[in-house]
Order: sequence, then structure tokens, then C-alpha cells
Amino acid sequence: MLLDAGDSLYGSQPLTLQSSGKVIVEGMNKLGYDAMLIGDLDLRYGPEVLAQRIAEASFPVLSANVLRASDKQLVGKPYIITEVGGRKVGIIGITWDGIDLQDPVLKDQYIVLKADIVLPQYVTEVSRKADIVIVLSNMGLEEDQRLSSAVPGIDVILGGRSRNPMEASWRNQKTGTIVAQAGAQGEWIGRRTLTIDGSGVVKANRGELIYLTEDYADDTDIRTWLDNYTVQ
Amino acid sequence: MSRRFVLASLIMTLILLSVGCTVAVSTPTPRPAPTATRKPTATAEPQPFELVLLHTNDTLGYTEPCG
Repeated sequence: MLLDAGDSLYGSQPLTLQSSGKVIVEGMNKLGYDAMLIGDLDLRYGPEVLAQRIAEASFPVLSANVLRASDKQLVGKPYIITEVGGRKVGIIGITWDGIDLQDPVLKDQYIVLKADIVLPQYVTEVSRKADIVIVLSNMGLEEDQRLSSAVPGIDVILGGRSRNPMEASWRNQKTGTIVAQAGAQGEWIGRRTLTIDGSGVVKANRGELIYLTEDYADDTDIRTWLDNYTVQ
Repeated sequence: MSRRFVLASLIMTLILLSVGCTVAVSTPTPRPAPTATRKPTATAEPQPFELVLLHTNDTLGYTEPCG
């Protein structure tokens, strides 16, 4: 599975800003992402533009705790259940709940619910439907580690916002939850290989960061597409 | 044979004739019907599996690796 833990659509890169994140969504479509989380920075485009980006994505865009202020509806999907190798994998999205909603760009645009309230409800619901529970989190490493104790039943938290390049995953010794991040700015891809027994318990996990140096040749088609990309 | 004995015998006979002398017959207790014993069938145990997760975060709009 290929997953993104948020804050990927918004940034200072000219092509990204000019296209309001459209170039990133189109690129992620080409790369075959399975799901992404809405990070707090991604909200800065505003609800209308964000809705356009979500509609353009060929993969589910998740957040269980961000609502539009206008209609009190969730901006993204709270979770998905997908099948991998005949087993059901549930993926829940949690956006950073400490976001400053008084920021002029965000004011009166969104309602952000607390992760401590929302996450236990969805983990319970998803646990009933899936063998494995993954959380895409925009809460930062310390909060992810705290949530791994506060909310039992999560197998893996793939996080972001604190931008830690974690070669090895961190594992909560009490609950068994695995926590990992993969740096920032597209420098790395994290790879976590989980060995899961018949009852759905993660028995072993191997982690690594793949540093995207020039040793990895560009995909020819994507290189050509990007070089010729014009903002519409 | 005394008259009293004859009278008692007659009364006893009449009682038996009117009530009916039933012989206690044991009623057969129903036997449980033989049931077919099922052979244990193998249940499909979920097999262990490997899940590979590739993940990114905070790409911040970068379209080129390494910034």
C-alpha cells in the first residue's frame, strides 16, 4: 500500500502554489497512492478548492475530525476499509487538532474536533470491520506516541507534521502500536513490512527509509509530464 | 368359613371388579434416537501474511526529490 500522512498539497513550491495543489494530486494519481490524509496546511486552500482537489484524486482523501463550518459535514472520508491479500485493512485519518482556527486564512472555514474524542470512536468501529487498523496522523510524533497508549486497538500510526525521518519504527511496548514517519519534502519514502499472524496480531515489523537520491532514476513518463506541466 | 370372612371376600371381589385390577406395566422410556456423529471438519484458519506499507508525509508541494 502507498499512503500519505498529510501536508502534501500546500507549500512554497511555485508549481504547487500556482496550481493550488492540483499538480500534486495529479502526480499522486500517477504514482498510485491508495489514500492520503488532509493535513492542517492542506486546509489553507479553503474548503472549495480543497473539495476540488479531493474530487480530482483517484484515491480516498481522509480526515475524521475536520468539518466545513458552513454545513458541519466532514471535509474528507473518516476512514476506509480496503482488502490486501485477502485481509481487511482499515485506515483512519486524523488531522492535527491544535490548528489555530483564528488564523485569517482559516477563520470561520472549518471546525476541528479533538483527536482524543474522535479517534477512540472510529478505532472501535473500524476494529469491528477490519483485521488491521492503520491511522494516518498529522498530530506529530509526540502526540502519536501518546495516542498509541491512550487509544488501544491501533496497529500502526503513520504520522507527520513533526517531520521525523524514522529509519526504525517506534513500538509501544504496552499496546503494540507501531509509530513511524518519513521526514519531509519528498526526500524519503518509508517502508514498513509487517508480519501479521492469523489472529491479526503484528508479530514482527521491519522498517527502513529510502532516501531518494539520484541513484533512483526518474520515471520517464512522469518526468515528461512534469516538465511539460502547465497550470490551468 | 365364617360368615364374616365370606362377606369380606365378597366385598373385596366387588371392589376389584368395579375399580379394575390393573397390572403395573412398565412404560418404555424413549430412547434417544441414534445421532450421526460428525467428523471434525478443518476450519479455515486465517493464514499469517505480510503487509508492506510505503508512506510519505509533509511533502509540502515538492515535486522534485531532495527539495
